Amino acid sequence: MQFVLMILLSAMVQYFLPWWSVVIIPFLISAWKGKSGSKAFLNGFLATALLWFGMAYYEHLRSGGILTDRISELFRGIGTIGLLTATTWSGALLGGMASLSGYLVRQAVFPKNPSPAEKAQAYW
Amino acid sequence: MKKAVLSLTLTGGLLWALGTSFSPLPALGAFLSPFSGFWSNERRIQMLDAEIHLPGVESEVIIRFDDNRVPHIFASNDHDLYYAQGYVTARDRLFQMDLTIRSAAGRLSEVVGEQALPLDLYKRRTGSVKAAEEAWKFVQQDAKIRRVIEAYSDGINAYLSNLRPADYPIEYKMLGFTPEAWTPEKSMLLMVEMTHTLATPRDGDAALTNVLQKFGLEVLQDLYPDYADRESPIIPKGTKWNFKRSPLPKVPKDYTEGTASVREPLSWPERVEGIGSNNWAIAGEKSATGLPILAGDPHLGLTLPSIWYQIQLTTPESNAYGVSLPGAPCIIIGFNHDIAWSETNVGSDVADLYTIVFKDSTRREYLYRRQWHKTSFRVEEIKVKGKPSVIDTVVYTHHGPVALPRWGNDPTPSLALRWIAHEPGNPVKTFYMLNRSKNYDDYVRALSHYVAPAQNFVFASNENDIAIWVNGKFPLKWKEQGKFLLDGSKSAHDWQGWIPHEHNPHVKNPKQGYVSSANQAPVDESYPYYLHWRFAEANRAIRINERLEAMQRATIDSLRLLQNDNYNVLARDLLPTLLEQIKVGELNASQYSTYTALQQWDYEYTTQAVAPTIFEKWVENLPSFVWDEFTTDAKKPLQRPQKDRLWKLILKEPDSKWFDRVETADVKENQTDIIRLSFKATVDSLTRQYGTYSSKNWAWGAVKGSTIAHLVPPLKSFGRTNVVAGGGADVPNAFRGKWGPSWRMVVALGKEGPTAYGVYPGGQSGNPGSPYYDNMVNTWAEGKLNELLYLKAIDENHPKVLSTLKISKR
Repeated sequence: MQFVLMILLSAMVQYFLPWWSVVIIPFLISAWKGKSGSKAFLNGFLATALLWFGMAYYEHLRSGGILTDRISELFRGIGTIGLLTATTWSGALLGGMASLSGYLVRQAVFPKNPSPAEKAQAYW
Repeated sequence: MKKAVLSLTLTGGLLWALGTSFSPLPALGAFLSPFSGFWSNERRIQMLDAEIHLPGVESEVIIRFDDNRVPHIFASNDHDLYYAQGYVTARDRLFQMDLTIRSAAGRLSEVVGEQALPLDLYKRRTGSVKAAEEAWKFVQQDAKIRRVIEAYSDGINAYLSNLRPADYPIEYKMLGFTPEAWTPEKSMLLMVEMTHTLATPRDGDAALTNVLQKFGLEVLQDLYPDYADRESPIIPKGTKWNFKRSPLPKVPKDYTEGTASVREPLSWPERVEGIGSNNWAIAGEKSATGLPILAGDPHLGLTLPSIWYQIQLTTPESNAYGVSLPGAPCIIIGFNHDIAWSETNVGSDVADLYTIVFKDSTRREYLYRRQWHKTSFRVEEIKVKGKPSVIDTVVYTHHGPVALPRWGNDPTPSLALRWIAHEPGNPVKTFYMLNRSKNYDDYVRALSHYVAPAQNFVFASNENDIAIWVNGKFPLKWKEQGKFLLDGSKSAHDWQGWIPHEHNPHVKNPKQGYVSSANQAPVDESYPYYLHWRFAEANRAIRINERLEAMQRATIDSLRLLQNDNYNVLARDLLPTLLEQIKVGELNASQYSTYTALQQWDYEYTTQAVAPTIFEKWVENLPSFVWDEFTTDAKKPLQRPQKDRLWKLILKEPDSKWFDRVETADVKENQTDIIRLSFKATVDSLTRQYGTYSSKNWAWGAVKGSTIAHLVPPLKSFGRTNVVAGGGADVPNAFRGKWGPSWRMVVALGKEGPTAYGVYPGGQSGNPGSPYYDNMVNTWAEGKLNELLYLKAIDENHPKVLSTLKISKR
């Protein structure tokens, strides 16, 4: 649920705001609902990876990739796959780190004492 | 807590790293984001029917796009017409327009950094922006043209105001700056920039003054004549001048031909040699249709996107088609229902340097008519990316800006620039009127408003008239005024007024049945005014005139073939004399192959031939063997004689003393020695450059330029390489790589409207991701033309019309 929400809201925000807005939604959602550090990171990482990859690939397909080829040549021939990989990783790292930060900031501001059941779960 | 800070820091660091541009890379975050980066430029600009609402239009505008993405605009009035022209041009060519203007204004450093500073300083010192401001003030007195230019500007800004950053052209994303609003001054600045390209301020005045001082008047008159030996003037020899000459200014008695020995402004760009154009028209008696056919191909820098943008502009009163310059309204080269026109450059002397004597290093006063006169100052701020601004204070005299030196305490002589670009004119009015001309009289009226850069306007009409006017505002000069430096303190050295427009060289319906121009001398020696001492070498002109003379029942295709003609008349005239002097017995193997290739040559500049490669190198080497006395040293740059003078020396003065070389004091070389020496040197330098002689290594197509680069050349993959086509600087098909026929057009006039063909090496879209970015390059390289779709009515059904864009007020 968080994951799907993150993709949808993030897409909307990024349509209207500059590129750095990619960090907003992962941060906010994990600050609100994040369950653990690793989960928050993974959520942000995968959601943004999927979003950036999907969008980039869609644009590439729409045009027949004339521009992708020219850009690839400017970047020493890294190719469409190289460009898609670079794009996906940039987005993913940003999304993941933002999401993790969101969770950790909430933890720092409103430290939540785990219930005994959760403690036990963590222990085992 | 610690973890949170660490994670935030890491995220911040990542944002910083992706948000910073590490030259030459753009900032990667913005560039890679599929929402705002280059991916979104992949979007193929819609070719589907669409309707948009813009508050600026007065009524509905229909724009129909054909299969080459040429917009055919149908508007109900002039305002909407030019508003729509601005809008669609910006949609296709925004970055090009913006960059051209930033460069013209001396504002490149603002976006690319310090490396552009010398160019920016040069633009400020030659007063480009001031010229544009004054031109706009002048144009505003003409309410109609003012509205045309304002509507065009508003159209561009209407496009800009709806533009999201994600939709910025890709180049902005690569270079990291943003588009800027358009103004009417910018359109005027584009015209100043054209004057800069075609009538460059650096014209050899100082270098020739140095020659005069070193060699004296007699040598100068012999080697730097005012009329070339091999010439075929634009106005046919023997044409009678149908006017009474205005009184000419007298050559001042104390004319000392520049007293000071002055450095040529070496840092200034020189006019590119061979930058020029062809145009011609044949009369009905020579054509298969019985009505005139006109052809034009302007040779300019070949870039992607192209300098030209095709467009059809229609209102109930007018219907013109042709190419426009992105950044200026109207059609510059084209045709309408009744007439066709095209331009080539006139290399008249419209830039002179005046030596200035200042009272002191504050440069507040300068000497003129034996009195101190006040100067004015213009402070130029050049913003530099990542650095503090550079302030330059340019001093103005009544001649114009003091272009050199930059600082008041610099002891080198000060030079002021008198340049035609500073003469306010209304070029848009000329083109506005040409777009609407119906006959010869309309055309002449249109030309009378034109100032600069002077052009040879060729003309043809369906009333069976052909004509050519050498047209522009020409200063009235004494003979050879401005061939050397002028003295800025004497009023007799000023420009003394203007040649009256009706005295500009022109001819209508000459007996020969054709008119043509290729940047050669406009007139023979019978013309009573002084225009310049040198013009482009006449080789293209001679060939074109020979072919036109021979043509009978010519068709559109005959003229297309002449545009693609690769025959070099210089080789025909000169090479036999050169080869005669070569002693075959003395040659080694590669020299012998080279010699044989030249001897068997048909003088055609085709891609497979090796002879053009050899001949070009040989004629490039020859001057340094003969004019070794004229070697420029850094302190006193000298101007070598024109090429034509060398050919005359070789062909007609074999015993000339100039063949003797300075460095061999004990040997007296003659014409034969020089030819043999230079031949061997040519083979050597070719071998060094291209490897041993072979038909592949030395093939003209492999050696000559074949790249059409993007406006920002480091963006290599945005350009086109391997554009293999014949041609050369001295043949009608003037393709030499970076320079060449930037638009080829042939128009057959008809009573029921014209039949027209044209192509340029590029595409209508400026978006490197669009299939319309370079789709016409191959057609152009093959020497073919596209049939131009001249729609006569808004609802004309034509299979080539692919989509319609409707602009309405809502």
